[in-house]
Amino acid sequence: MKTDDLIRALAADCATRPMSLRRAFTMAMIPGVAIAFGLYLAILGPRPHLLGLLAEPRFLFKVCLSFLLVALTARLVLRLGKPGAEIRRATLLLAIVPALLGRAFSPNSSVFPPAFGAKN
Amino acid sequence: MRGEEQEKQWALLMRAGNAGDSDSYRRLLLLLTPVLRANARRGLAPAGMADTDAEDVVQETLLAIHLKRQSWDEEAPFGPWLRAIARHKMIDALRRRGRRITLPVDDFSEILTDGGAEPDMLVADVRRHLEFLPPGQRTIVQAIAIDGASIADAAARFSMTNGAVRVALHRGLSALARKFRTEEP
Repeated sequence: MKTDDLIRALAADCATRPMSLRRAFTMAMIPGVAIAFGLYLAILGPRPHLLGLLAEPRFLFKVCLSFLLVALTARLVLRLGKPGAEIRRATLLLAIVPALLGRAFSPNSSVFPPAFGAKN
Repeated sequence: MRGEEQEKQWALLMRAGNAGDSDSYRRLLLLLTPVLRANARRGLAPAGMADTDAEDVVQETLLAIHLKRQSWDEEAPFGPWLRAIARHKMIDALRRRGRRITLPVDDFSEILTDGGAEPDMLVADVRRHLEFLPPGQRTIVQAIAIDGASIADAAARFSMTNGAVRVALHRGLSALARKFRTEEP
């Protein structure tokens, strides 16, 4: 096909808008989250006293850290889908998660008491 | 400076195209073609590939620009987006040939927009890419691309609804892009 002919066809197809990346991503997240939650229930099952654990800083820390990781990677993934987009900053920001984890496990951390993780 | 002005104009036309202005969109693609062509020829020549191969890269790049245009953020600069797509398509073409890839392509603002004319191809070659499309999509793409019919013309000619013509056209173009990706050298 000649290039000018192809351009004519592409211009005629202009009204058909592809789905935005953000929307496609969200649509994929819905079954993804549902399946993950299903697997969690089927394989691990909810812990007893789950609600009571919500007051535990360690438990809260773990949950927050996971959500932070999800948010930061989502940012990176959306950028990776855009040709030519700057990804350095989004990639470097991921380092926050291991940094927080390291900080939480450091000897004088308030989240994990010193005895935590030590062999009794 | 000139390159920057040019990219601003491209971005303007692209935004108009996204808003449904197919004339602006067509103008944009016509403006991009010589730039892409010069870029593809410059990139493929060291690998000993012909101008017709470069034209394939141009068409594949145009298809990618079209089918992935939602991945351009309207607030972001247009140049880096375009260059990334052009570069990827060229790498794909070289890879299919099994060449070692050494691309000096970083900026094509310096390239004069005169990319030369499209190479003359054999008549058989012209229809090469359309032949494998399923008949329904092929007739629609052919009517619109080669005969220059509008969506409404094609709908009337094949007694279809406008919507059905749009769907067939879009699927045909997507299939064309897939064909490029899997094409044997």
